[in-house]
Amino acid sequence: MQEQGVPTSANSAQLPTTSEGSEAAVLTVEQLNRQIRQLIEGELGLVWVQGELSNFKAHTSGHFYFSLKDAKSQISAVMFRGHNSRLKFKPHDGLEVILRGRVTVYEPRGNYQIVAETMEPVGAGALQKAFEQLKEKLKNEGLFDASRKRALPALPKHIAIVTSPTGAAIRDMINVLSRRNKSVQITLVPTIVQGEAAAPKIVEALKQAYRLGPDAIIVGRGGGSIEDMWCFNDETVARTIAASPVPIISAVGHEIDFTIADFVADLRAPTPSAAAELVVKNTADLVNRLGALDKMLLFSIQKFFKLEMQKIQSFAKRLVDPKKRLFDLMQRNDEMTTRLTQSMARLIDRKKKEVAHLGSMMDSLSPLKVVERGYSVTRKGAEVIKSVSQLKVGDSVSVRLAQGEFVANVEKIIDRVGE
Amino acid sequence: MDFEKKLGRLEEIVQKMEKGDLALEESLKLFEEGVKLSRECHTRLNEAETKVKKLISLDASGKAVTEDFATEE
Repeated sequence: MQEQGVPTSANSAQLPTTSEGSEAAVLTVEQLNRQIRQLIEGELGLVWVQGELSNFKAHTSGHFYFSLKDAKSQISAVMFRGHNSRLKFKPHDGLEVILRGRVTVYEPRGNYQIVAETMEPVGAGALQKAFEQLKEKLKNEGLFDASRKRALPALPKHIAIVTSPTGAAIRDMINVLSRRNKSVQITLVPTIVQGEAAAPKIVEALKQAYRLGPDAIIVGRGGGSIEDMWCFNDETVARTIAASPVPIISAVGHEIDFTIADFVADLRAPTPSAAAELVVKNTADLVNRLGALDKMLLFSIQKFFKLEMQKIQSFAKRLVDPKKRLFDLMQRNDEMTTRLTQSMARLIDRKKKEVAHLGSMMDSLSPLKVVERGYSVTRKGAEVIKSVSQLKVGDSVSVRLAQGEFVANVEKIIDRVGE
Repeated sequence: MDFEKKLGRLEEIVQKMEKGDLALEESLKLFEEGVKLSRECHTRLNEAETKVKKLISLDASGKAVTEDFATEE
């Protein structure tokens, strides 16, 4: 504790003294509150306290402000967001809880309070333990085994639903089932689904459902707190579900936590709607498959016919009408004849020309033609004279003209042409 | 033949036809069978409207006593 200097004041009364004679320190309020805080925090530290919640307020900041009380007494409390976000239940007035926290002083107001770090409903511990034990026991009996789980029927005709007749769960399930699979029949087996008396009622309802002989069963309820679901952790309920003669889906409306019913059923759905979707999922798949097969069947027969048609058409092309063949030949014959005739004519023409040409050549080369131009043929006896070397002076030669002939004597040889 | 078996046979038929090495008569026969199966499957899927009943009790012989159930909106 700190000693303070003595404040002076015009109005101060005589300063008190302690029995030891020294002057008592006069503190400020702030100082006092701080001392109180340090004292309390130092002395008490971490405490566990049980009480009933009251004046509970969850502030928009996320922090919880409340009082913890018992029959005679109460204390202010706060649980900050960092801690309270881990709570698995929703605190409310009247709930009996156990807190672990630190007592502290809120100095500005001189209030002391407990700052809770954990909070648990009373009995939660015991309940949790019982849950774990039952889970272990049933698991060891093999009731959770994957090999026990049955698949849902592909096209269920009759579904029994064990749930409350009021509320969203049944309404949602009916909507999903009737929308996806028009031909399904639904029988609701009503029961209560929370509270102390629920478990035996659920068991009875399940047994009734079994007697109806449906193709599949959904048992469940809508959302709520862990306490609300607790009837689905009951051992008899679990064993009854395990004994279902047909596939059974547990839909206990709690997204993350599992109840024993969830473990022991053939299938578990996080919500009732999801359970209904599972039941009709196979139907939707089958409808799609059927639609696809219809298309493929039609397509393959169309393709087949197209191929056959093509085959027939190609045969038809190759088949020629016999009359046409005949006409073709006749036309060809005519064509050939014409061409032959034309060729012959041309050939004859050509030959004629050739002959004429030769004729005229012959003509111009004919000696008779030559002599008509003035040339003469000189002969000595039978010998035709081409050169003067064949002659000597005094020879007698005959000269043939174009017209007529005469005899001449060689008087003189003039030129030896070409010498 | 139950629904799934019918669907399975239909699948078989389609596969055979797609392979394409069938004679005309066989193709037609398979096609006919396929159409028949498909019709039966469609009928099964569209049978009746959904009926919702609420169980009132089971009588002595185990027969269900029910009434029509309508959800309150």
